[in-house]
Amino acid sequence: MSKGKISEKELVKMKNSLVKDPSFRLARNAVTRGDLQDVAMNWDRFALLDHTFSEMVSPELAATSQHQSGRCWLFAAMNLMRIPFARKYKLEKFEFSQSYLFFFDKLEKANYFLENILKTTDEAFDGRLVSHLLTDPLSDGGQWDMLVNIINKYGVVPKSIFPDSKASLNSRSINYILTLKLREWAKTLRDLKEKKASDKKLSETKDLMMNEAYRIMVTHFGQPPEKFDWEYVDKNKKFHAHRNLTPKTFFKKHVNFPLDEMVCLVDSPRKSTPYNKAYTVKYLGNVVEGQAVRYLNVKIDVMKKAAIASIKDNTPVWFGCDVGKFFHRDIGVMDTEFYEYEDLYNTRFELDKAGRMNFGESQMTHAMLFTGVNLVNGKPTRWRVENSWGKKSGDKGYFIMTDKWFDEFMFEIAIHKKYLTKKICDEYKTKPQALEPWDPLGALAY
Amino acid sequence: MNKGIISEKELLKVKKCLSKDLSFKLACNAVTRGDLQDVAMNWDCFSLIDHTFSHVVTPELSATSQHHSGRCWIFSALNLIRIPFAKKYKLEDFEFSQSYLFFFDKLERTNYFLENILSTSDMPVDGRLVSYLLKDPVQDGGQWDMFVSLIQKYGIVPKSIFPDSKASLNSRSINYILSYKLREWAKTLRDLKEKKASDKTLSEKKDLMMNEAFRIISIHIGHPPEKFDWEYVDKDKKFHAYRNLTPKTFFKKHVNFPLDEMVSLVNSPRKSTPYGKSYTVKYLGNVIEGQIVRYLNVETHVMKKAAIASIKDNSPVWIGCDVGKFFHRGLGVMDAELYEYKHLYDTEFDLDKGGRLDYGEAQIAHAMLFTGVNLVNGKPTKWRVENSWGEKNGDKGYYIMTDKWFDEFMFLITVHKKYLTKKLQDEYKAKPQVVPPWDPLGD
Repeated sequence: MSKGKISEKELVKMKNSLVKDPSFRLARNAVTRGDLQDVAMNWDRFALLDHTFSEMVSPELAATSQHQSGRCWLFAAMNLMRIPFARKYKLEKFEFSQSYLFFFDKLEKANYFLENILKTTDEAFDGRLVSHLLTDPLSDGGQWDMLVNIINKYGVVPKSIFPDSKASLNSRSINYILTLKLREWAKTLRDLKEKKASDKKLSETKDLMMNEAYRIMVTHFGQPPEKFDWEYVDKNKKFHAHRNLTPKTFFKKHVNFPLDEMVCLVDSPRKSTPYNKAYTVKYLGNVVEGQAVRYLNVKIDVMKKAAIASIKDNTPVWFGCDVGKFFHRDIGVMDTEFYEYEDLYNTRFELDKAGRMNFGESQMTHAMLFTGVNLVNGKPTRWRVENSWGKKSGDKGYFIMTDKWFDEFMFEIAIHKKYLTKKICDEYKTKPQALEPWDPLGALAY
Repeated sequence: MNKGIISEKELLKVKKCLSKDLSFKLACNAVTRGDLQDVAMNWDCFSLIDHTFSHVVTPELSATSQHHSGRCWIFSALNLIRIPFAKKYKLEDFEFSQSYLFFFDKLERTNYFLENILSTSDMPVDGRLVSYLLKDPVQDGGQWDMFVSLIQKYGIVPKSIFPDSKASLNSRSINYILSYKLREWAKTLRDLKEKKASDKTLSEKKDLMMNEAFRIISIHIGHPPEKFDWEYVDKDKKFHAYRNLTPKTFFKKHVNFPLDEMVSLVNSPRKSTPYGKSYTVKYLGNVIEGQIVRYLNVETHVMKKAAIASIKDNSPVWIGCDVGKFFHRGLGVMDAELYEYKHLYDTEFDLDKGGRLDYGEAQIAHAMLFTGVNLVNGKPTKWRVENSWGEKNGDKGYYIMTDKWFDEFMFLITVHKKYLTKKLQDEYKAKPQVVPPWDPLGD
């Protein structure tokens, strides 16, 4: 192709060489009319699907649904906590209020955003940093450490106390309105700063903005409770009541999950992020002065070992992965060999995990829970996953992840430190290296 | 709030003050259970909805559907061209093949992307520019000038000759596969360049990539025809046939739309983009050495005057706007006063058009067509819009845009230059100022 242009001659040549190729013709006929995932699905892999696992956490409760919102990280975390909680209180079914945490996450994100805007007033509004901050200031997504911040500050409540409002089921409207206001306020604060407004003036203006933000939030979600009674009937049909709880006393007395003993491990096999070092991401967070996002980068085998130890100890594992890849939503399977794209297109897909991260092809997009693993001679072959997309797909909402898929598309687990070696725990505690806000490790799970 | 932290005391204070506010309680009850657009809709505006216009272009044909793809720019441009065409050949209904242009757009974009990767190989992969190029290398969206480049190079065919494949109806799968390959190839080319590969090696490697891309695109969309016969029955039930056409002769002999006499006007009221100047966007395009994207920035009243002149002359107008704002899909209405968010939240929405562009709140998200305008004492009050989202919404797929909405959310029109003053035509032709690829004008 001369001078980088596509020439007519070349086009005809390419076409002529293809029309005689029977495997091209088969592929073309199937793909122009059929669904790509169906056309490319490898029957041998389909036939191997089996929701049986050698190790399973108990009890498994009914799968939850985040509906049309990006609350996966909150759902996965609340699903993690409800398992020991249901065990302790002999509950047949239970959900914590995801909406309660969603409310305070958004409110804190609004505040965090405005503070970041004030911090970056000397940068150009169309520079990379401020543009990044403005892109999606109120994303539904989150990270493990952001969850810890919300619970530490606001506690938790049962879903029966604070149910889903319209905005929890579909966050589009609240995000549209509040994002519009946040961008408007960003301009107001930057304009004031340019006119050399005093810090007092800025802080007063920001307080008024937060009042408005609160009003908008409460309009969409209703007022979260300050006090409540928790009443429930256990497995043995016995009624119980705990009176006069606050969200924080409820968490402390009844849930009491060891948040401060949890550690996040990531797998980022890039040159720019050596293993066995801790990382954080600039401008990523929700609660000002809350816990910073922190990961220890480890090889994938370290991550698996820890996850297996946790599952064997009847403790599920919160994780983040790139769910959309080599995935079938209805069947509920993540399997790198599920689709034979290479044969279909007569090409190889050669980017490795690091290349995919560097070239914008892959990052963590979704958080779920490991509730089981299948071990053959001590080695994992597949993992059982509790998702939050309702009960209709997979095994009543529980999915399969093959171990090879884990290698390629798993990015993060949050795990109790007792399942890690002393060395790893120490490495986690070292001063983290700060990555740029647009680094793929800064991606939020939604 | 001291030190920027949200305090429990503050929260209680705000909460108390709200609990006494009656209009807050009403809003909260409605919004927690209902749909925001329904709850906030201004009944006075709703009752004013009327699909009657003083000036409408003829003939209006059945509204088209782009299905689950971002082909709005191709649809609206072909809808523009089909009106004089249908008139000339006395057709009751007609569509050009959007899929035909979609095929070549994907192919050309692949080439354009790989060339951009080669020309930026000395920049870091995580720098702003290369990250931007990698973000969405084969997205469906496009601009008027990109449409012109495709037609000039490849011509056009009737939809009966090259129908929609699965990928034209839903572009997710082809975009997923092709983006993956493009990012992989970007790495391959950058790695080769780093190892000081010769230009010949690079160019040969790129040719192989283009071969593979051609195969992938052909698998999804099928091969476009090189020769075809156009057969049709006109309004009077008379059969006609034109034999042995190529896509280019068909365009030249039968369609013959004056592409090179069309001019794009934009309204960008920002300090960084003065009026009366023309602009182009770096790294935005599809065909290498094709027509560059070019807009002349003018005030909205200039834009309106040109659009009205065109409609009065029975020529529809291609438009680009931020469709998602103050819009109701089912009703097919764009009205800046349709939702009373101000009262619902007891807050002002103060960001003006320039501010929305600067702060990432506005985008040129969607292309459609003006086919009519309502003039009262010579002033426009509302515009008739042909969309490409099927026939179910609005008036069988035709929408209403209020004139105030035009001011706030309209960004682009493309009209024949004869509807512009000589001064504007000259300004359009002046050497364009280049804005960076992430400028909102590059959407």
